[in-house]
Amino acid sequence: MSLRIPSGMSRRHFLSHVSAGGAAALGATSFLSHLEAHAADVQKAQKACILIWLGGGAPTIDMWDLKPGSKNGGEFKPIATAGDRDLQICEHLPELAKVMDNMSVVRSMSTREADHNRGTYFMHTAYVPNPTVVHPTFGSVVSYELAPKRKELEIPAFISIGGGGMDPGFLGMAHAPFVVDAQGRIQNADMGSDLARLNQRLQMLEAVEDSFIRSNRGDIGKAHKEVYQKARELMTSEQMAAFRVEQERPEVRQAYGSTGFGNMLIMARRLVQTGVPFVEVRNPNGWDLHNDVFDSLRTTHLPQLDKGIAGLVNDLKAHGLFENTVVVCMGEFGRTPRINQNVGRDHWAQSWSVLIGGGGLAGGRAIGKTDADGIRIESDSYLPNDLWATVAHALRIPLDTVHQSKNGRPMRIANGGTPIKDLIS
Amino acid sequence: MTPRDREHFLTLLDALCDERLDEAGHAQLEERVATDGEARTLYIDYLLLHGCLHWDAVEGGAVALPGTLAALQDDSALSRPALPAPVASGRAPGRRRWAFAGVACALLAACALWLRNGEGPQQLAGPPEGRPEGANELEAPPGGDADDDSALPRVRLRDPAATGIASTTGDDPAPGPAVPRGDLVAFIDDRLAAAWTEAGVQPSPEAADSEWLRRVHLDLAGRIPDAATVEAFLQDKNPRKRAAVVERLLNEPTFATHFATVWSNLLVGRAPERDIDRDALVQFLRDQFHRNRPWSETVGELVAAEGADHENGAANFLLAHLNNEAVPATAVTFRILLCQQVQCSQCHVHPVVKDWGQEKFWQLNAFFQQTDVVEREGRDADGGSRMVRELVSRPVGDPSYYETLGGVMRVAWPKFEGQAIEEGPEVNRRRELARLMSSGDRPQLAAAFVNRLWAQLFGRGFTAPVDDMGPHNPPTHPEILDALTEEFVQSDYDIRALVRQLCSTRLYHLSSRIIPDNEADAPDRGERPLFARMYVKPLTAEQLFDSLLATTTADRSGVGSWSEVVERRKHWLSQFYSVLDNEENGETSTFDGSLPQALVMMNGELVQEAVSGRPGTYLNAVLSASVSETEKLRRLCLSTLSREPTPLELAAFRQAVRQATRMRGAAVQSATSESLADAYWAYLNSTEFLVNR
Repeated sequence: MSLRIPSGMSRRHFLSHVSAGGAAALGATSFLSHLEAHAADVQKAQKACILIWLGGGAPTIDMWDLKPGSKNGGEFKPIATAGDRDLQICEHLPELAKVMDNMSVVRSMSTREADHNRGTYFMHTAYVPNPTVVHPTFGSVVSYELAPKRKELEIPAFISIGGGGMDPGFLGMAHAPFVVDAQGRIQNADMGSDLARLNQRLQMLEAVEDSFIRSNRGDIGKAHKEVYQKARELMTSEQMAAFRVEQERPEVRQAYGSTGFGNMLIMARRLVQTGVPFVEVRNPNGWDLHNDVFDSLRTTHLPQLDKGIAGLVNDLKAHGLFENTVVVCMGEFGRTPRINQNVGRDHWAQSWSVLIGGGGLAGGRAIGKTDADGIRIESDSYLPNDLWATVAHALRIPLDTVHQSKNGRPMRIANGGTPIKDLIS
Repeated sequence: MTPRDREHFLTLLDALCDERLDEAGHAQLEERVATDGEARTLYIDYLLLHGCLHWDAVEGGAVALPGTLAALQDDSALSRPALPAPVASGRAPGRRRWAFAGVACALLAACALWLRNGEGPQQLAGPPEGRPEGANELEAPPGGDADDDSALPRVRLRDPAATGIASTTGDDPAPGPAVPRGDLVAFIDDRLAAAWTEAGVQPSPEAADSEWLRRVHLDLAGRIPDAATVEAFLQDKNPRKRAAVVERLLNEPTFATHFATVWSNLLVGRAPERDIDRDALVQFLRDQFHRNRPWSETVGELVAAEGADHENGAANFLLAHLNNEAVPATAVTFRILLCQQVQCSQCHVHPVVKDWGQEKFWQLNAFFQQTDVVEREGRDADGGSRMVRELVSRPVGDPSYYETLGGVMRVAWPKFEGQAIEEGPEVNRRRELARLMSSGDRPQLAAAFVNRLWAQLFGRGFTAPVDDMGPHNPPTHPEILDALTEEFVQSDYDIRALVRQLCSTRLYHLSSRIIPDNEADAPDRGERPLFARMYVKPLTAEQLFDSLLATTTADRSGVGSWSEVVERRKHWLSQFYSVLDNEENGETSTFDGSLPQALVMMNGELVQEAVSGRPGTYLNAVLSASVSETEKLRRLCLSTLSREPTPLELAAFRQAVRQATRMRGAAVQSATSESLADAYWAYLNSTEFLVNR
């Protein structure tokens, strides 16, 4: 493996060669535009997943599974949606209600882990934390499985907008999330010298790296090399334009609610359009609502979420991307049905809901059921394993895929979960 | 000369250097040199450079280095087969190249005299600076392998004078459960060795001086040594030089600064958004570490602090965490200071340790229910107004209220490890907590510090994760942890003594190189660590930044003052860290070896400045020194990786210079400067620079 030779000639390089060639290049240019047109078709058929993360743990009992009439019901009323009759959602999500024929709610998540770190880990990996192995976050799994099949993709296959911290685990740093801020600013991507010089430097670096790898101090050197290859590719790629949300027309931004969160979702759509198979968008609001849960939801959290996700669903559909793009919205757990003395809700993992749709999954459905007080599940219950198995199914990643941890243990994709039947039939 | 002519001419020169120029080529070359002044200059520059590079490439790796320098080149052993054999063995390629280099130099000397009227380059006057002429014939490298112990001055690892432990038992190993007073280091060595034997692994060989010196600087000063320090240490023949370095570093201000950095990160995190006077906290910690105050005292001051953020630095620990009914303060006190994870027991019984019920969490929480955070208008350093935050204890405290899973409300009063405190207007609960935390002969406070320090120095704690100690997670070497804890308490929490002891263990002097006999020691793969070698530790963000400053002297080249450097460091760190919005005041980082970090190293301002070669930078000083090109490369390598360049790196460098001359049409002088800057960039961007090996 060589650092300095790019894995594939990028389009820009190809073009610059072509234009340097002058007249002889005419034929090649038209061939290229044909290729490009074809590539656009191919990209529409490319599967992707957008995970909208509600960090802190959202009170799903106030959003997707309301309990009117119960002492746990809270201040909000349910409203009808464009989905099935029983798919009612919170009155403060009116825009989303209009597109709920495309999205479903799984109301019977039961996930055990009610600590932030453990819950975040479990919901991202489908494995409970274990000190002897670091499991990959699911975006890294998707990157590992799909990136090698997307030769034309020059930017990372797993991008996290406004977030970070999730680990690629035993799949290696090359599949770590590429974390960008909410504005999509990529710091330090400008190399400040020409490509020839960069190649010279990388050539020298290769000698230093080889010296270290030969000194036999573990595989940290190998990961480093892969990351540098990716960095080089990224720095010279025109696909970086996908991060430039300001290139969108103002109407588009309005359709997403003209909020920071809305812009993050636009970026996610642009990235999916470019061929990125997994994008995580971290909702900028804190959902750890131990206090004043209803005020926060009514004034900030829900209006932004409502316009943002509704805008995303409509926009993906307008671009013909929705049928190939799974949209998942969740946090690390739900919140207690009981309302505490500070008019807040605490951590609760036993019975809560996730919003999911797109990518060919069934829309408009309410799947699973909790009791009248939202405490017990009265149907089949689901784990993150099942949720990610559903996503893997939609992305056409075979469910019998097995990865190997560093100590040689076989790790089944989505921890051996089963796709949720009502979503795939 | 047209570019095409030039290209052709350089091809001829390349062929000449590679000894594959035919008769016709020679004739062409001769003709050009004789008729064209520009060609003549190019010819001289080019051959001079290649003469020197050949000279150094043949000599540098194997022969010309004095014994001690060859010894430090601990990576050369593996690459050695690729090198021409030392001259003594008389293998043809080596000699021919050598001879060629000599001839080239002689030829050039003559040319230069003729052309420049006596102003020939100084390099021609003799071998590169610092390499005594003829040394190569006299001294073959000793033994070759740098990891070979015989090539190194033996370090006495258990030196009572150096470790500060009064030895009563001499060198006799005294295994057994009871630790003989005063020979703790021997006890640790012995227990580790017993575990190796039991697991059927062998320890890695002793670390070469260069490896060890970089390590100890990163561990105790938080940054790498500069080139001069490395050179001096390698030349030093004193058999106790390692102990002397530990002693020197323990007493330098950088020790206190480094430990204050480590602990302020643990206590309040790195994310800049928090509403506290972080600098004042760092200042407080630095002062405590500098005066080597007992750890129990430092913790006591943190836990029992009163007063305003800028007046009492210690107050900032709790000012950062008293939000949300002091739940973060409770969780952080347990996790950071006691290495116990009880945050999940705020809602239910600990999933594994059934004794750790909800009351354990809330009884500690109750210690904080006598304290208010008061905000008032105050002045900042520039005289502007700002909100000052202050810790104020009330005469009487409240209990904590919590709810069981069954929905029953409970009340908790202050209690720590089963010990209640008196209630009354004279009782300050947090002072009582500070007292209780350090009482007993093996308080968890001491064990937690020992575990953290062990992990900090050896790459892995006795438990994984390091902050999850308890009956559910037994330590890997309980007897060592116990002995160190006991000693730490008996020494009245003497941090420097503890560091000194750990740095005197055999383990601290082992190489990080994996050998076939300890491949099984693989904590990376989830195995329990056996500590059969030094594990490679990734640098922290602060170690990396400070090391960048140390090698590049960017702190001296740019805007000068120390406070500006501190600001710059803060700004640099802020790109990696942000807070998480949850009740534990957690934070997230992209300083993890992934792309953003790589981009910072490849293109970030600091590295760009370092490789710019502008006046005041270290690179500038190296470039303008009148020494050979290889010596320049060597200095860059010493200043970044604390070692000699490997033969592989020398060869790549030579190749790069050639390419720069050929492909980019650069003048030879600027081509070498460019290649040196590139090599420097490569060293700074290497895995090896990013780790403490």
